[in-house]
Amino acid sequence: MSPLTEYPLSLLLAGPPNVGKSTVFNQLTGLRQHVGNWPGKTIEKRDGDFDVEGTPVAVTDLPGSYSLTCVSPEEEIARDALAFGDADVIVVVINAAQLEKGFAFLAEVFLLGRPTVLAINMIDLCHQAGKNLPLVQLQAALGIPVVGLEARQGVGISALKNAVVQLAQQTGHRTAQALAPPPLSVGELLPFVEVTLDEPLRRFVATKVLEGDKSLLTRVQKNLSVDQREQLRLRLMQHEVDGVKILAARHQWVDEMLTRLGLHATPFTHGLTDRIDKITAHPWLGLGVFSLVIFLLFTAVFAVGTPLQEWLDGTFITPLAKTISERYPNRFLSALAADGLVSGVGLVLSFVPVLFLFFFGMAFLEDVGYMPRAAFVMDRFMHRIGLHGRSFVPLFMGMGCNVPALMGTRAIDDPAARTLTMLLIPMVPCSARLAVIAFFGAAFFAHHQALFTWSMIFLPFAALTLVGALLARTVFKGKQVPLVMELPLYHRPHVRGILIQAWHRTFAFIRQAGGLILIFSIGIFLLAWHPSGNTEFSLLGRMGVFLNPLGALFGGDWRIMVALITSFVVKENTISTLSILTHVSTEPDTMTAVRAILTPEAAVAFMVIQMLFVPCMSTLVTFRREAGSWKWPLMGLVLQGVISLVCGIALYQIVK
Amino acid sequence: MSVCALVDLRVNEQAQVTDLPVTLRTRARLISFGLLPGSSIRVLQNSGSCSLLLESRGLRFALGRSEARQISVVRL
Repeated sequence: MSPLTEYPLSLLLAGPPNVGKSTVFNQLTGLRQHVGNWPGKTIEKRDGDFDVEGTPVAVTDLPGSYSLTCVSPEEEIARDALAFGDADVIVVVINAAQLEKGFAFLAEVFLLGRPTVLAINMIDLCHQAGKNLPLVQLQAALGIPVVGLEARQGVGISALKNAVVQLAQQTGHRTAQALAPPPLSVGELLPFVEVTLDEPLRRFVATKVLEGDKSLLTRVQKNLSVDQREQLRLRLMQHEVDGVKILAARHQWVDEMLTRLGLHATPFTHGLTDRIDKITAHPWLGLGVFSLVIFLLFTAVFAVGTPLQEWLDGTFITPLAKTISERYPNRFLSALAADGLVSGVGLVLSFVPVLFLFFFGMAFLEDVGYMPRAAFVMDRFMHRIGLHGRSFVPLFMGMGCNVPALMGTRAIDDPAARTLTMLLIPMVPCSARLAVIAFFGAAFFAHHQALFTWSMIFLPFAALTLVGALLARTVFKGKQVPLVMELPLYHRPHVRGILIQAWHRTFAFIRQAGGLILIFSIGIFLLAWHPSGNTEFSLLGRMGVFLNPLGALFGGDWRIMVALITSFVVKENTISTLSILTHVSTEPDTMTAVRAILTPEAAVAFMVIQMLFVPCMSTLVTFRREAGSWKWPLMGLVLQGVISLVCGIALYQIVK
Repeated sequence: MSVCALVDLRVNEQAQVTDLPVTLRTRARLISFGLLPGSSIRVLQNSGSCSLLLESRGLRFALGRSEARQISVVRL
């Protein structure tokens, strides 16, 4: 999509969270949209466009924000785009059932003095409650265009488009009347604010600094001498109470406006939400509902996704790889194409069904308003290991696959809690690790397989809890934000919007992580091939031999070390590598062969290492993409590598 | 009129906030939710070790117990 400047007209969609802003965006743009990241951030940016009578209009959907005083990185992005960006029109989307929250946001946008349209979504709720929103009076009182929407049904969308274009064509835009005059101290702060900004914007910055916005204060301080900074600090101390006065005046304006229009005290009973919350947000019943929901989500994602994954592999990837290796005479090139390229691409594609289903499920739960309830009932357990209530769903989904789990952490709005959750997810035993456990259980402990399997599953969870509790009290100490979270009204899902979101997120994985996964896949192939195509004598084999002394510490040999290295590609490789290196191809024979190279004690030690070891490369790459840098993924890698080897070796040395 | 902590209120009790002396970020978030000294607030749920469920200015939100302990209110 072309940059904003290439459009004759551009608009920003702004508003508080949970007002149906994304639905408005989807309805405005249809499928003409593009999802990327905000420059330098890992926060999703949604752009799109539409035409009004031949005029192309660019739309950017800003992250939802309660206020222009920023608490989260998302709100900072929204504030910067609104205040310092160059869009022509601002569309403030609010929700008819929560007018106070919406008008409070609108009052702040008015400070910017920019052309603004107010879009009131979910007006159907008014009609249901037997109320009529007096749109004409509202428009007159506010002095800006006001449009009523029922975005889910597409009602009012073309009126909104027309209102935007009309407003943009007006010379000298109108702004809201009747906002309380700011206290005099705002004027006193003006000299400190950069002069390059226009007048309303300078007032906005001064007002927000007075209200206590830290990021704007930093921005203002940057341009000041040490002396001026000190003066500013003194002024701010002197006028501290004015910050609260401004906020109170804004509330008063909202109350007066709503009273004048006969809309005060939110005329709707939130009866349905009340009734549902009696169960879903109940301390114990809520846990039951949550267990059921997450069980259904997990089953739906993996019971449908995994067979699809296998079907994709069996129908396309494996036959294609086979055809290539049979058809082309050059052994190296055909192996590179078949085992490196095709299986790498196949690996990336194999994530698609699971990811799509997972994102669909998450978006559905988020859209109907359930997700914050889940976080609410889980919070008391999660916050003991330094996590947010929202961390539980991704961690749990990690048992299926760590990749969607990492992408699922986007729902955690606190950066520190999100990073900590991402560090812990690779420790969750995924289904691929469980496959390895099943194989070793059958090979060594056929009579106690259940006990063996359960202890091996318990182990990483115990490690995860300990590491989480430890990190929360050290590295992340004091960084966690306590739980302060809106529980939005429940509403019917907008399926099309959910499908669009699930598709965009899945596609983002292919686009962002696909390339790196492919590079890793080919790299490991080359290591296992060079020089002769025989893994045993390859660079990889030699690495195994080099690491033999380390393996000996837990009773393993070089073949075990090679298996450990190849498990970095996909965890199931542990078994296939061992079968190649022991020269047997069928599973029962591989079991016999593995029994010949490992004692039962060494097997347990090796499995402990496997369960705690570094994640697969797809997980690592996804972690890197989601974290925005290599710092945390590499730290996690080292942490898991060390923990796994220490535990495995210690165990072997003790029981030996 | 006696001042108490928000956490001491029972379900369905209404109160007026008198002070918000919590950490800066929590304070800023509560203010962005529309909670100021003088705002009225209603308790929807408050039990055991769970976070509180509150409503103020048409917004329903969850608040951790330790934060609720730091907010002073007077019962209405």
